[in-house]
Amino acid sequence: MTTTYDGRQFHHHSFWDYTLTADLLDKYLGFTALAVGYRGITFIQFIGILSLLSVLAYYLYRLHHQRVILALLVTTWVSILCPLAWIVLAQGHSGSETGTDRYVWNLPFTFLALALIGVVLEQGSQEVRRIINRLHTG
Amino acid sequence: MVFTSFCAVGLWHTGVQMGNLAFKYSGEGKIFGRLVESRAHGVFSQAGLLGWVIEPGDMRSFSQMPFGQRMHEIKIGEFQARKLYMEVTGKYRYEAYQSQTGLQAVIYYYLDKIYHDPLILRVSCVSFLAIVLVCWLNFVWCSFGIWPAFVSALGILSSPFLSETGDNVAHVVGAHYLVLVVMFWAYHKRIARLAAVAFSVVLLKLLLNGPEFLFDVLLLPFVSLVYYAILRQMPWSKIRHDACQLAIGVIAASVVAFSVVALQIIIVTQSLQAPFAHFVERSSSEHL
Repeated sequence: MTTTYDGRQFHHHSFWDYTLTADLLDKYLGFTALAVGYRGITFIQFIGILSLLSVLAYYLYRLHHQRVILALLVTTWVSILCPLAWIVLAQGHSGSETGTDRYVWNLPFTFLALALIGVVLEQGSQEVRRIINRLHTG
Repeated sequence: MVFTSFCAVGLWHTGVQMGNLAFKYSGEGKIFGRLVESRAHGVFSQAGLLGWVIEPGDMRSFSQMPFGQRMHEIKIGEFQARKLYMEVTGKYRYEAYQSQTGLQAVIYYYLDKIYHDPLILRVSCVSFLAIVLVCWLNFVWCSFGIWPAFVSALGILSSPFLSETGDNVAHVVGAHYLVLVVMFWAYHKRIARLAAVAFSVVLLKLLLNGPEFLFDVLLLPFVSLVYYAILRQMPWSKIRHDACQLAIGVIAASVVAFSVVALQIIIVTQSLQAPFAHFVERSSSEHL
């Protein structure tokens, strides 16, 4: 049985516990990803926003065939396996020591995701400017 | 400027904590216990393992307690460690923590000799993390441009990890990110000996802060491989070759790191079976 800092208890039925894994994923997706003051977004919201921007990133890649965008896009989504490996494989530890383990998402998923968001914002704004210019001249 | 803001945000939490004279109980007692022991009996006494300082009459073992009770007792133990650390006197019993080498405590010991203030430990920890993060931002700037680097800097500054765990002297958080930065740098510079780079950096991480985030860190070198394989359109033979090199480096680093810990446990307990018993027990336990 695992007891967390906040007093919640998980029952282990075997070495590998699927109920615990689902509970852990639910818990870890609910932690704060980014916050300013008391306002913040959780990791599930962050992943949701990133999914939308990823579609845009793929569109930008198809438009200009910049390999750097494709590489960053694929790497970002592959890198989500790294934190998931710790949360799922070391479920006893990630279930009990949530105080420090909640930041496992940053290694390196959030960091790559932030770079991807930056790339999409920069390239997207350039694209919008180009379309506006074309409308003016056309 | 970015470095200073990372340090400031990282230390902001410390300022709050120092004001309350409270220590974080997520593992810091081990470090202060080790510093008390290092001062009394030398930096490599008890094979250099981290540990808790307990009153001599108290025969309870922290590592054998149930988790909830253990955390409560460790909090008390940490206050005791702090008291001993400040007073530099007192008799105690030392209980070694057998899950990591404790290289960070060796570095802290020499810093502590110069300054004798727990704040320098926190400042060194946060500065190390800030340097590593600035290197990451430099990589993002060089690879994707200034705006992605700006968004990354804002994102990192607004993530609570910087202030909540950045100054934790037990989890030297910078060591995790060092693996990420060094592996991307090695690919960026087209370094041929990837196995040696992966071995060195993963070994350094395992010696500095133990098996925390182990599975995550072991996969990190392969993330850089995925990025550069797509960017440079590497042929399959090259990808296979690099993946084998990285796997050899990472596995060798883990084997060496765990062997060092096993050797330390053998020296402390004088028993050849003790490390195996410890690793088996901890691998199925909720704490490392």
